[in-house]
Amino acid sequence: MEKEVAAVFAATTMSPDHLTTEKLEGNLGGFGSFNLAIWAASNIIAKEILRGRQMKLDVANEAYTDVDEIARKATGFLQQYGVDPSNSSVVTAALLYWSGVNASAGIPSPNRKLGGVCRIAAGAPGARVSSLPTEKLNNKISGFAAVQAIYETLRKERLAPFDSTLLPVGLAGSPVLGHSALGEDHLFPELAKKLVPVGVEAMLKSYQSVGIKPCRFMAALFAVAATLEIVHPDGYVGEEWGPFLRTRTPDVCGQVAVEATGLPEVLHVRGSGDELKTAKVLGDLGLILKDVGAPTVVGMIMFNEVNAIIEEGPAVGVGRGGGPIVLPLHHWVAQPALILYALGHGATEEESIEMLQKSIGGYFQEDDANIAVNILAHRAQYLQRGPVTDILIKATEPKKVNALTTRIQNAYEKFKEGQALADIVSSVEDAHTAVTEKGVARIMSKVLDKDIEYVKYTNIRPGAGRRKSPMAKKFFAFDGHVDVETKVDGKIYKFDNFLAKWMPKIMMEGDKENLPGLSAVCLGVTDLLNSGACAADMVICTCMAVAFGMDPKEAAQKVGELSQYQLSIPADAVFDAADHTARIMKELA
Amino acid sequence: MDPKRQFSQNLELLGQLPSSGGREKAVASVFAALASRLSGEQRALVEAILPEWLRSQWTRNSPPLEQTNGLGVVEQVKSIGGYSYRGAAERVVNAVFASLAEALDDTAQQELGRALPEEFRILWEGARTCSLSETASQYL
Repeated sequence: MEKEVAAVFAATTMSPDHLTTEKLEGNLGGFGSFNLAIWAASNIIAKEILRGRQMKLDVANEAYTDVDEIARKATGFLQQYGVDPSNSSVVTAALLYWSGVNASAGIPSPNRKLGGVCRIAAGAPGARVSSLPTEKLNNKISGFAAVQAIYETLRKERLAPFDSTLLPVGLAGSPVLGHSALGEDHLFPELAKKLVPVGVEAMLKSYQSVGIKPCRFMAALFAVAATLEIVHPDGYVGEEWGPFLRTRTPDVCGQVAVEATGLPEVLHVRGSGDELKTAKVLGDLGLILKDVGAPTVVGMIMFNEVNAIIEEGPAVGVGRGGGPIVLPLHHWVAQPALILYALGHGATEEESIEMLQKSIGGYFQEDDANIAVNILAHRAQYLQRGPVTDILIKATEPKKVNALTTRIQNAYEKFKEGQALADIVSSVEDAHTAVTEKGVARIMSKVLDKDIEYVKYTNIRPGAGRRKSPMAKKFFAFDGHVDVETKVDGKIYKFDNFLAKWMPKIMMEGDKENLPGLSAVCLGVTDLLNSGACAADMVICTCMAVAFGMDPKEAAQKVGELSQYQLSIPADAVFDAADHTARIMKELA
Repeated sequence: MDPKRQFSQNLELLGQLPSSGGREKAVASVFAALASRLSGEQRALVEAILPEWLRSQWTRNSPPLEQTNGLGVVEQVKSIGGYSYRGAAERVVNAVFASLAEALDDTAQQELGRALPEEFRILWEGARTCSLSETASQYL
């Protein structure tokens, strides 16, 4: 093997941080995000699953069950890495839920609810849905929208199907109401049928009002949670809703939420083909949210990204980390959640690997997505080793090695031929763009149910002209220029200077004629903007330049200047890898 | 509730099968795996025990004789149904059997148990204890 190839391979892979522009160490204090700790905490849960622990809430006559203990371990671990108690609670609850733990069990006592179990384990305070934020989709709203609308409705009209002033003395809270036809067949379902749609409408309108595409999944969850704050949250209901003992008010709320939001009745788990009853998922997760404490925006981002194991993902508003775009790395948690789902539902290691590999097929940049998962799995191993990250590394390491060696070999040959650094960087970025273009046409055709014949992203560079700052003229992320052309259902759309000119023009003018073109290309532009998440291409160019004799600092600086978009923000990792390349080359000389 | 609808509801809950297509595939896979292990006479016996509304699915999913391909029951269901992991196939076998048990009286349950080959009988006896009515006590 040529020593340049060996040196560059070693330098780029010696640390997972060398393959990304992101500051992964900064993730570990809980400031801004905490997904690395979640990947590691997933190992803790997986170990318990594989030990044969009882992954169910039940009515055991014990003070604490296996789930309590696992929740305490997971939340305690997360908090060691700066995670707020409520955030540790909401994420642990979501991970345990997808591992197969039920959302609630029993009647007092014990009456166990997964959200409450995790909140108590985390030492988090209780809170109300009115103070729960949604995840951040640039802007964000809160459950206050649903709660306010519900209480306004309660103020204006009597929603109960009977006049409660007629109730005999002493009946409040009694089973004569709560465990009888009056409560179970009439009161609880009637209130659910009336309150959930009010909450849904309020959430959707609030989303729209602040410029967020209304998120049906989150609107449904918050409406269910807000309703369950009022309605008996685990009351039995009439058997027209489902079998007795197994069907409770959250299931009714979930069913009503599906109808109110127009969500599909069946969702699926990525890579597995498993079906999910949407109403059940909404009821369960809504119940969890009600009890889980006071998570912050970041906690809710992570919560929703755990839920992104749902294949329909962005189309219904469930996270974005499951694809098709390569998000910034600090968003990714769907992958460990998927492995926990697999292990919790009886998949073997090889079956889990296949599921993960199948799920990566849904990204525009499959190789980069594979590398991204590999980066995070390796990095999480520094915090806590375990079955989840072992499986994720097994699933992604071979393809990562293949992708990197191919790129390194290509770079080596170009340098050996004597090509100029500028030409090499340019051709590498063009090749990367071509992969995104093909991926966008293929995947968005299915997502939008249209025939997207091609997508072309050209003239990609920093400095669209909107900002005057030198930083904005140097790095693509701050004021990126890109021209776009696409052919959708036979019609050609051309958008020059897309981000600074056409995108805002179409949205501000409500230009429905150009909307199909915009919808087809937008996610691809996002993918370009996020390219630094997996910066392998530019790191390899830099390191190979060093291997061929360039000074590391000069190489990092030069490639940073030459890169039109893949190094979209300043990154220390590029110089670090370059420096190591020089040291290795010295040893190999 | 109408027994056919009850069966479908139980299957949905126990098998994590909210779609009618998913439930149909589950029944088809289990029936095909079972039928492949039975002689013509044994198949007729099982058909006679099944509820009337399940018989057409049974006959529809009876492959030519002796086509187990050497696979175990769960692996065969996994292969026939295209399930991506063994746990999903196990869940399906359990759900179909538990729902079927609920649809049969005690006598028919025992008759069916006797008619099944041993590999299936073990699964059948286990699934009978997992039916919705049998497991109600876990909620109290």
